[in-house]
Amino acid sequence: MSKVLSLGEMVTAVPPGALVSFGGGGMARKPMAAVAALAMSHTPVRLSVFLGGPDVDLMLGAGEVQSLDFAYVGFDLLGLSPNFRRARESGGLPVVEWTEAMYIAGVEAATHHVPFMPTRSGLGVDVLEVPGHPFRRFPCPLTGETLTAVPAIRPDFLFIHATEADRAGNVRITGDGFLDPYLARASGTVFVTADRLVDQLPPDLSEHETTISRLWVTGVAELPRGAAFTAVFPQWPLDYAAAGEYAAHCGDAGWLRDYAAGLATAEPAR
Amino acid sequence: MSGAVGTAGAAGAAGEFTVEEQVISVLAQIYRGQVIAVGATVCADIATRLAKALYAPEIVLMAGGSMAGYDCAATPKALNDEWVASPSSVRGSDWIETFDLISAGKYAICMGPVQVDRTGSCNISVLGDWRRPKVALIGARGIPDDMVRLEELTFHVRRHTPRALVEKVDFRCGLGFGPERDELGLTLGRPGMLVTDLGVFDFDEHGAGLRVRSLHAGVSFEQVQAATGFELLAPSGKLPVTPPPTEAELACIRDEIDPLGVRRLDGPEAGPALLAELAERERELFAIPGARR
Repeated sequence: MSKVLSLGEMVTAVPPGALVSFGGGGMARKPMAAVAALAMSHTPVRLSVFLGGPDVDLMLGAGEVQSLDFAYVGFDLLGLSPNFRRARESGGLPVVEWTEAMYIAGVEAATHHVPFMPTRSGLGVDVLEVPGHPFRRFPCPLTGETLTAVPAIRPDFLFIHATEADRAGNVRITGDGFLDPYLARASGTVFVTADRLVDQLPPDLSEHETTISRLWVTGVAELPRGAAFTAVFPQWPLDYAAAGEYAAHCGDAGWLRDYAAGLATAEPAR
Repeated sequence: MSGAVGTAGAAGAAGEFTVEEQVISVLAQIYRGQVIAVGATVCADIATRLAKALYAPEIVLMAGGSMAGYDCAATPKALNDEWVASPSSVRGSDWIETFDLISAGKYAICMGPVQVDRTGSCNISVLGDWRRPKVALIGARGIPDDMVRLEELTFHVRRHTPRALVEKVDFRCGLGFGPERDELGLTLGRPGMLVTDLGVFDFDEHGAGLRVRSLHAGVSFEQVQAATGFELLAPSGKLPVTPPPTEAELACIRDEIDPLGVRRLDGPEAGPALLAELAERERELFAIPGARR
């Protein structure tokens, strides 16, 4: 059964107010073409991203984000995210700041179909001192020690960019998989863009690669360089020139609109 | 290159070295044993490689932080590290195992906080009020997690200024020494060594303040005090000079683990122009695929 979709079909499936997540991390393997298409569809969504980069930046710059959950947003060696800065510093964006281990625990709660996961994180730090956070300190029912409950993270939609996928929806990620395989199991609908679609994934995958079964995947689209300037090992190192250009101009709404429009329509015929 | 701060000692014939090389030499001392070694600043990252190459072959390096390249060799530091380091890695891993290893204490990290205060609390999340920050930085990341799982945290502050070394951090990603830590019964995540471009420091275990352990060559106590946003603990005698990097360390840094000069990104030249220059040279030096379309 073919799960091949167009990028347009993927983004029109996302209704306003949906909880949307993106795979990858920082400046690596961000599904930028899908992000751009989503931003251009003018659908305001709630975002939950483990390690945000230009994906979160672009959505915020386009003004289509109702709220943001994150453990990190930044451009790694290229510095801070301009549109994240502006959104946060205006005080108007509802945010939940997670830690990395708490975010992972939230995704695991979702994959285990339980409402929360206990974690040790949160003791003595301000992540639990800010208004509106969803975490609770509680005594362990077995030992009595104080732990932190983090709620399950269940994205309605997850967008991932991968090196390769087959038409049935099996996915192959080369390089760091970040939380993508776990997020896929936690999410209602999983859309994957891939540098190439193949009839069958290679039989000799190395242990350095991550795969996701078609059982977790809703749709796939072939989008060569769908991660734009972000790194996709081993084919596309981070394009520092293009990333630097993005960082320098993304705060300009007109420039960002043109950039997103260019990315979103770069879809090749299949 | 950034200005030389001193001359390497012992061997005599030694040349000059930069403050970044001094910092790398100091930080290389924290990575020992059966642990993943991680450095959150460029110098700290290079220090993990220096430790692996010269002192602690048993430590586990990741391919520039990529979970897909666990246990790689002390390869040269690059911007696109995964490309240079991955081929030497033993196996792949993932973020779940990494946090399991952190939970087991099998992890040594040097962080790069934007603010550190006199008790050793640290901050990479926001400057100003969290609800409406003056500057939104990057978020708390894994610091609160490491703080309740690892025995000790090390800090590298690239530029020692009163804005980085503050009386009280604006947002606590990690908790320093003092009554609050004692009341919580928190014994893990103790602030350990702090290394800056001026010296090496540690924190009083009762929260009384920051002590100078040593000053880098040519730096005075008065100079450090003027660059610190609170009063330093008074030195009890003449302060030692930070041991300079050895000839072997300098040769390893310059020829083996950072021939590209990525360590300059932690120095005064940091900025888009330097990054572009390094990105251009990286492709020739390491045969990384051309990035332009």
